[in-house]
Amino acid sequence: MTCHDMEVLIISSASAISTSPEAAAHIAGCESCARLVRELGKGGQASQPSPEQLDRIKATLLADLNPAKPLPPAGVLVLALMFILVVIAAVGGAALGIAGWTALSLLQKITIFTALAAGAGVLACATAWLMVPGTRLTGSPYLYVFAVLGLMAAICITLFDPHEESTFVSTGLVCLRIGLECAASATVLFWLLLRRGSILNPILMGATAGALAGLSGLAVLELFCPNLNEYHILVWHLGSVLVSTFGGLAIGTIAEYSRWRRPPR
Amino acid sequence: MISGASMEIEEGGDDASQSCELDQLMVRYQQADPAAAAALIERLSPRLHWFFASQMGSRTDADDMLQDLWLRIHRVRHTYRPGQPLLPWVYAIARRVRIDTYRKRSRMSREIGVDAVPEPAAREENQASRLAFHELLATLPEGQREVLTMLKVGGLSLEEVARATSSTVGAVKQKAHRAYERLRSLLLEAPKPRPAPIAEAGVTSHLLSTNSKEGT
Repeated sequence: MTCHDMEVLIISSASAISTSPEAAAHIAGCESCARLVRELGKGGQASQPSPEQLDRIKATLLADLNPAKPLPPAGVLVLALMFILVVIAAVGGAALGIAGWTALSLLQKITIFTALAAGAGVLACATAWLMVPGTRLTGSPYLYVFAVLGLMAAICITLFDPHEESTFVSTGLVCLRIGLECAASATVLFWLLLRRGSILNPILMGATAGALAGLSGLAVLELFCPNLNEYHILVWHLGSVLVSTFGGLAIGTIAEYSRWRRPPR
Repeated sequence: MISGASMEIEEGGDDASQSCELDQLMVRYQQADPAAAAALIERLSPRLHWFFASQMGSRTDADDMLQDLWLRIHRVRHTYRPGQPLLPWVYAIARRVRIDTYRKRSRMSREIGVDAVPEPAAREENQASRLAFHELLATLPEGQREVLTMLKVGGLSLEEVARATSSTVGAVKQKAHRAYERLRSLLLEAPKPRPAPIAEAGVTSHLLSTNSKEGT
């Protein structure tokens, strides 16, 4: 047995050290491992909080002890977030019309709205995970945000053709405004749900929820806007998702810094 | 009532059942059972105090952070989902409390122009053994120190540490390996301690106990 094998044993399961004859033999012959095991063993001699302090904590908590209803399962939260997104898209489509939906071909409709649903599902899952401390993450939510934005951009480049447009900025600004208004509405509704959770990383949550809200704006724009110019969709439609993501990031950053600004107890 | 609940836990069997008991206590705490709340405070506070002390260096800081942590846990206790492991949930919040406290202290120290953040090596412990372990931990980078403390004092598994730190099991393993390599090299450089035969001193059993789920 090597010193590296000993480290693997210590990390994975300390009980293996006491039960493995090889480990015992190695410790007996290796000064380095022997001292490592000995010093790590001293870690158990933890400093204790005083009984008075524990009594104070108990008194504080017990004075305000009411039943607390646990958060619903992650699946329910994901469905709730998706429902908000669908409501925003439906209300936006009803209010502004669905000229964009009519202009899209069948392939474009299927591809865009399937990708939107998949992207929203991924971001809704990440948002639901971030509401609960100690949840196992299958990947970085930042990665999900980049992946969703990248997927939508790739679909746009593949499905639409670019062409010159004399009113590129003026029409684009209208789309950007609509996208951001829908994203802001979605953010308000998301917040009603997110405030129930315990957000330990406001910056990450801000970016993820911001991107999710941006997708609601994108859905409304794809329903409403009949302009199929690739540049228009890339810059103004996806731009609204990007602005929404950075907006969420900024709000999260402000929340994070305001936490530090509070005076210590 | 409280002692009854504690007794119940003391009689617990292996790691899995002890962990299950903690989860059950948390569920009862959510249901406003005062005995469960008190038992949970008794059970978790020592290891959390040590977690803070090893990260921030000062017992006073650890006391303050422990108080802050329980207030936060109380405020967000509804976010614990029954059936999920409790320790990653608690340590994720503890980690956040530590980060917030560190940043607040850093800001204050910049504003008032003094070193308000204690150096990890500036300890208040008196016992030589604790001092040695503290000093060893203090030489590690923050991430490695955190992982090592959770593994060896908190009694968390690799999977639980990964959850608590929003990381992957692979990343946790890598940090732990690097920490051990660093500790090993430091121990080889350091003067030899008093002779204490490992087998006779029961070091391995001690390590075993600290690595258990309830390593208090």
